[in-house]
Amino acid sequence: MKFWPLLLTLAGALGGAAGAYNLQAPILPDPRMTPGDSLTTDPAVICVPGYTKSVRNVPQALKEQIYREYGITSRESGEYEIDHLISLELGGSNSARNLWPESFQTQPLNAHVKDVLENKLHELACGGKITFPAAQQAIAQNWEEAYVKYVGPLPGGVTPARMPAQPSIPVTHVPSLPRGASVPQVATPAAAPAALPDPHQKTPTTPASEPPAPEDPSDNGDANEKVAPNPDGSCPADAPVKVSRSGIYHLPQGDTNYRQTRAVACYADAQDAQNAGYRGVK
Amino acid sequence: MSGVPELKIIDPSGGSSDSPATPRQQQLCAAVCAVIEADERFRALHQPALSRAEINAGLPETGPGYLYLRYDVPGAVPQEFWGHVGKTQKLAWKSGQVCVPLPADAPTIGT
Repeated sequence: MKFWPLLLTLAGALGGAAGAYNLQAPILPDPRMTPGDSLTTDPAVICVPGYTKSVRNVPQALKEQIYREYGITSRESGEYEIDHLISLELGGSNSARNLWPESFQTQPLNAHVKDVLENKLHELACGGKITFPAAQQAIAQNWEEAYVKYVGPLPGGVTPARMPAQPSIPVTHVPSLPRGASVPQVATPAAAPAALPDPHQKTPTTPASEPPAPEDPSDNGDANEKVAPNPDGSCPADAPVKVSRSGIYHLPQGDTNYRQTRAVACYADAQDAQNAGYRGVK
Repeated sequence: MSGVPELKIIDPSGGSSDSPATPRQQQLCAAVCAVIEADERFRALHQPALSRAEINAGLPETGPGYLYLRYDVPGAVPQEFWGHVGKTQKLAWKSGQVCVPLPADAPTIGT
């Protein structure tokens, strides 16, 4: 009988812990803070047994900073992990740009579900079925969509969510607009709100408007010298002109909106952007 | 430190900042690299090349993880290190954490 108080205490503690879990924790990372970062794409390195143990661990102080950046100021034991968006077994790095807090407790999607995808992609990449760059791009872009593509339906029949800032449409799919045309619908996820979401907001029921992006590198061989934006919405140095979702191009010099503009396409100069049918800022 | 990549500032609010690294941050990076590159275990690596240097601006300079460094090693696992300012110079090879002292009067504001 003397065990009952202990059992009741334990039950109460467990119940209290379950009630304290943040079940609205983000399922997808904020692409501004966590665009993903690759350490290596070399199968000869990654596919060696024990590879992940040869990669060093993230300092705890940096993990705590990642929690703070995501607004997580308190957490229960076992509630989260600092996850590598591109997992170590896929060649992901320990850069802060590849780290985010992922919950074990959210349902039906959580860190355990993403682990299944990571294992599958590792198996496919090490088996030569896909390349490591393709695997890294898929999981960094939207791991829920990648799960559907490479594993199967998400648990609970959930439809993959889509982050508004997600560079979901390959640049070759962005239509060339005539001058003065309105928003290119293909490049604008229909279900996505205009503003960036609260990183705490779980959006598993948001319907996906597009299937996972194709990963054929040959798709990038586009006319008009269009260049794909970086995952964080910036443009590469050799094509710095940003085209926004509203079909307006922004120049790196003298445009106050340039820095905050998330590019859906990039061009080397204004003339190329104009030739593709986009207009400048009025 | 020849061929050193740009020291990027990782803004805690997301993404990399356009602000240039301060002289003190550059000084820290140089000091940490010097400690790493003088280590026998590092020197045993085949042609390591510094490929990434980032300041995690959300941390204090004394916080482990403040400076992130990466050396690419052809055909082998890239080596990641973290540097921060501390009282004594120390390299923990297993964890990759490097502590270096910097003078208190070292410059703190970029020019």
